[in-house]
Amino acid sequence: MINLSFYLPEIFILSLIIISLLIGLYYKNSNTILLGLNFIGLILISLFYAFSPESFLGGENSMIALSKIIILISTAIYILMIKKSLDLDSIYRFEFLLFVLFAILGSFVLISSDNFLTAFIGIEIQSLSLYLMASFNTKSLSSNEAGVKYFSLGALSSGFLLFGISMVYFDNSSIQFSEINKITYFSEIGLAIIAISLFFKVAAAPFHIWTPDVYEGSPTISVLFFATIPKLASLVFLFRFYNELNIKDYDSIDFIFKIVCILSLLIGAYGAITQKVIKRLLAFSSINHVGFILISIISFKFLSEGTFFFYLIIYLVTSFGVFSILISLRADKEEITLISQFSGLKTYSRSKSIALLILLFSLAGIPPFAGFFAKFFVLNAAINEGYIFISTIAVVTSVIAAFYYLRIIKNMFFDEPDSKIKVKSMFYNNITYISSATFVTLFAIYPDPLIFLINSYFN
Amino acid sequence: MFALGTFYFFSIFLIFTSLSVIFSKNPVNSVLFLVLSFLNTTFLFILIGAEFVGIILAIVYIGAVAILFLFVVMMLDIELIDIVSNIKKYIPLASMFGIVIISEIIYLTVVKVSKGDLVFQVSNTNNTESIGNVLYTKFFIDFQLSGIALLLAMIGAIVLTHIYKPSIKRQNIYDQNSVIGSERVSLKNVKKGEGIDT
Repeated sequence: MINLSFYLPEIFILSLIIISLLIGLYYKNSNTILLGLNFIGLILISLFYAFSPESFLGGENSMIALSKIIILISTAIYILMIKKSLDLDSIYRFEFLLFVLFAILGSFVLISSDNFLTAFIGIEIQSLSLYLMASFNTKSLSSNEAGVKYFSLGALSSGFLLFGISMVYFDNSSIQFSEINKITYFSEIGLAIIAISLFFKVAAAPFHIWTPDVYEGSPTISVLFFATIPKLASLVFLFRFYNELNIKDYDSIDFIFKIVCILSLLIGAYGAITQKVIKRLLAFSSINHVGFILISIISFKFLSEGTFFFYLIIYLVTSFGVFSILISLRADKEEITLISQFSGLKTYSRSKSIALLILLFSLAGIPPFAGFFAKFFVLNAAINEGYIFISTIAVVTSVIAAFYYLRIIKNMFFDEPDSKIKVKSMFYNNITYISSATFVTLFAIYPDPLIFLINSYFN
Repeated sequence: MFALGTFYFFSIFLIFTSLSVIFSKNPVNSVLFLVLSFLNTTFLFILIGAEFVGIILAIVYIGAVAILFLFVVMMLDIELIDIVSNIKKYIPLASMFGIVIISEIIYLTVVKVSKGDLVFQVSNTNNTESIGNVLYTKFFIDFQLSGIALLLAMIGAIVLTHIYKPSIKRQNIYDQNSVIGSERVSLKNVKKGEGIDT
């Protein structure tokens, strides 16, 4: 018989979804109720995870619990920003909240799955809601285009995933992770195809083609979600996939991982140089960061889980800050698109431009800020594993990447303003960017909380 | 011998129809060939003894999905695409992928099939019964999660297509049913020769 207590958090999220659906349908002005209900609900589940005894979680390991806590807390912060951000384009409808909840439900299923079938369904629930979020602005042509593009390419990658799973099943007569142990050609090809599909989901090069287009077309608040929470879930699953199936034993798949890692670093750095649209630039920047995270996945012996989560958390916090600033900058009635529109931002809003400066420095990995330490630990682990070549490429690409981050900073502080920017002041966005910039700055002086958090999960 | 003959017949027919899906110039023809290829797959499933999966495939894919495709294709006024002009662009990449996949298949059939791994164990229960045995027990969670995915798809379809305009008059059945007689009709005592002010 199935012990349902293992699924309690998922069941709780599902009941949140259904209650929100009913409230949203029957009460016209239900924003505050929905928001409060879901915020409190998500925080409660995260507390449940943080304080529940180990025995209760049963088969779940500490890594799964930690990633679920991170997802829950960041989603709780995220849902506070939804209403105001969508209202700027006057496209707010309460269903957006449901999609967010569905996406984290899918992420949860994906993270804690122990066989490929459950993982597949988790990926499907997660990506279905992402397609809907991409095309949420039904009035805008580019948003629809982004949704259709994301959907068709995502369906293709899901097809690859199923094909790979069927090949693995053929060889092992099982899709449980623990029972896949045959190193034969069928298994190897199947696992390689599954890995490719997962690379597509996390937008690692050369499976990144959809990223810039989807980021450019979708509403910015959806892009904030794409770049952080589902990506974290897919990366955690990729980490589990690599470790629990002992991908190191399959030489060819390990080689594919290394190639994808190098290509992500290079394409993430070189692709962004010529970009004129800020969201495309951030898309390429996220590809570059995925490259770094892949380094921490492949060098998994030395302090790996800690390094991995360290990088993920810092990347997540920084992205939240950057995107919440980006949402609040408007050119007349449209959102800001071009990098050149950033010129002279400091005359419009000094606090936002300074926060953006700090966050971009952190993304570029410049020493006093948190991004530097994240990159430092990843490179440290890689060099200890003997990946000198990949580490060299990582360092070189982060120098190249610094160029385009610094160009935005130059635009903001040293160029004359040539376009009208309207700086919207939105309460939750302000809180988000201020706290994220503070976190990134103070990390060098007072890193104890984050290190304590990670240490308490991985001794 | 007969089973082998039918297998080859349907698989060759399947390959032919699948190719026709890609190469027909008229999208309507493509969809009809798609239906035919689903039908061939159904026969292949029945041949290996999986009659439940085969019939489900026929009902779901031919009965619902393919017919929906056909409707969509017929509704959209798509111009006939000139495939010949486009095909040259894709030949190098496509042939590269094709060669890789064909060499994989040849390699695998030579290495694997000779071992005879393809024979499955036959149980006493029939197909439908054995699926029913595991669907609500072993795969309970997956089954429920698929239901959640369908709920999401339903909400999503409504969100994407529903355009709310306040100007459109809508019938509110709850309001209509909760009308009380005294709110709409009232009895007035009208004096003879005088009207009544409303």
